[in-house]
Amino acid sequence: MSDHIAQPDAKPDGKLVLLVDDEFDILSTYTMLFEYSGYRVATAANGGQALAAAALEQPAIVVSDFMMPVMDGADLCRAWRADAGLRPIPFILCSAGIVRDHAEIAYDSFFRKPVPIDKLLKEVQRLLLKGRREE
Amino acid sequence: MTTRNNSVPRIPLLHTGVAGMDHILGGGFPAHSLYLIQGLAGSGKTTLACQIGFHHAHQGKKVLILTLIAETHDKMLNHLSSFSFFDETLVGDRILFIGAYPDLLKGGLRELLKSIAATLAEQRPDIMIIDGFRTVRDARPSDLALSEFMLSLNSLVSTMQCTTFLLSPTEGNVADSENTLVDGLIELSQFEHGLQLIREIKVFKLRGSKHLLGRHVVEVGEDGLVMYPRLEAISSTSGAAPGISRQRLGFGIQGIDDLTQGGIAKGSTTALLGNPGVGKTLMGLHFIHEGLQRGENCLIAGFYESPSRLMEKAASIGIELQPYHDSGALQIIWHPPLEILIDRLAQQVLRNIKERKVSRLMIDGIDGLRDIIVHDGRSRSFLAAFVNELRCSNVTTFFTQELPYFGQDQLHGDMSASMLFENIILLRFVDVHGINRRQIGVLKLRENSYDAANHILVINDSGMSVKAAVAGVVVPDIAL
Repeated sequence: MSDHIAQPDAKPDGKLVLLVDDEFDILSTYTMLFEYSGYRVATAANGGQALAAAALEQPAIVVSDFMMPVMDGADLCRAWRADAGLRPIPFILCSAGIVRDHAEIAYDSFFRKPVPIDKLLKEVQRLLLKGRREE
Repeated sequence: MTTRNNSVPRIPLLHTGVAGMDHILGGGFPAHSLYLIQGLAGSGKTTLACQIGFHHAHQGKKVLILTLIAETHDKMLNHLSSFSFFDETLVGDRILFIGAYPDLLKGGLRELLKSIAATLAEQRPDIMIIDGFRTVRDARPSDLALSEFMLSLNSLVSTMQCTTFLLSPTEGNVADSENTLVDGLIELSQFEHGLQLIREIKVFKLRGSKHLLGRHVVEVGEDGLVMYPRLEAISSTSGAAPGISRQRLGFGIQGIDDLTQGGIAKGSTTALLGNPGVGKTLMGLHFIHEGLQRGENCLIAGFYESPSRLMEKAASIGIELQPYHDSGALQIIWHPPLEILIDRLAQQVLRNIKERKVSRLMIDGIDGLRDIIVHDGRSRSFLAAFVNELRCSNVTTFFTQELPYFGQDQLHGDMSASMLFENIILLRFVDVHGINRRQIGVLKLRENSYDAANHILVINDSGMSVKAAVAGVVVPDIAL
């Protein structure tokens, strides 16, 4: 993404959502809408970048695309669950296409793209609340 | 717990509420998508978008009209107030006007996009109209920045499930990102024919829809825009095939039913060719009257003679049409062949046939139809489509067609069009021993044998009748 469309301002007290997608328009849109809803947002363009971002600051939740270069959403999810520190963090997987072998991917929720923002926000809230209760 | 929302999302269609437009679009606009409606000043794009907006606001939907450098909101409202779809009570409630130019001025495309995202998240409109969208390019962003803006805007409106129309005073399908990164591109334009100005719509692209290709005529009236899908495009895509009927319809003229051996096939089209004054219209009126007497609904569409003149003419030879006209069994559509749109007339005729189950139709005459087909080269394809639609409607149609006063090879120029018709009957004046006599001959008759001889035709106070066959072929020695 060029510097002409920069990330909108974040709210410092919001929970951190890690958005992972190789399509910049999706990242741009979700970033604006999550920030409008009071979250802070970190973005990554593939699974590898997402793990690096999580090492810098652990997010409260991940919303990841499935089909991406370098490391796709399924491999990211596997790596996420294999990491003891990241394992409890909710993982939402989204895909425009059909995802086979769902059972092998330990996500919390799956959505077919395009995902209406209300549906996504509601699920993020639900998973965050659930995580809080389990703590 | 794991949530799996794995069903394939299907995009619903947004119906426009604009007469004829959904047909052109292939059912409507695929919703939650981004569309560019372009057209030069006065082409009707703001009216069209607002007409769609008001239609949905009337149904309880929320509409956001966002303006950049465009008309002021009060001027826009003032202009819209002259249309019947305008409802002042919706403004400020379900239809919101918001100016977004200050955001563009303040922070360029980034700020504008953020402002749109915040407004969509706050207002949750079903439809958004961005008027003056050309201002975005006028802000002189780099091509890449504009492409990113368009891509993000497209993604944003999809995510927010808000069908969005961008209005821009531009023309043509060029490779700019405003055209390429939208889901649909529609152009409103104006076509000049002499002193006449005709509005048109063209759909360059519409993803996810089987729209009608080419240009279609548009009118702007007190109800807003009305669109007439080009008959040739409809006829090509409908795939409807006319049925074949063995039933014969008589003319109600003594001798002609013998000549045609029982009449013409139901659902067929007949060209009545003839010199001026030879009796083409009267013959058609006989045919219509015969149907009316049998309890059928009939229709006359004409260009030259008003309904009252036509009924007087019929009465002069003993055909009383007035009672049928009064009862509604006979309807007459009359337009002088001036600035009437052929597409509107065709639609009016076809709708009348469908709604009233019209069985017999007379088009008086086909020359008038040709006169109002203003686009070069369209005449033949339009007539082919019109005739096909009439056949599919199972209406039996007479087209009168004028031949010149003079000239021995008078038929040749018009024969190509006549190939459209299943039946051709020729009426003409011939010089028989120094006397101009009316003569009738059947040139072609579908699915029936016929008497090929020319016969003398007589018209008097009690109507038309056909007399004995003329011996041999009668050709005038000199031009009539």
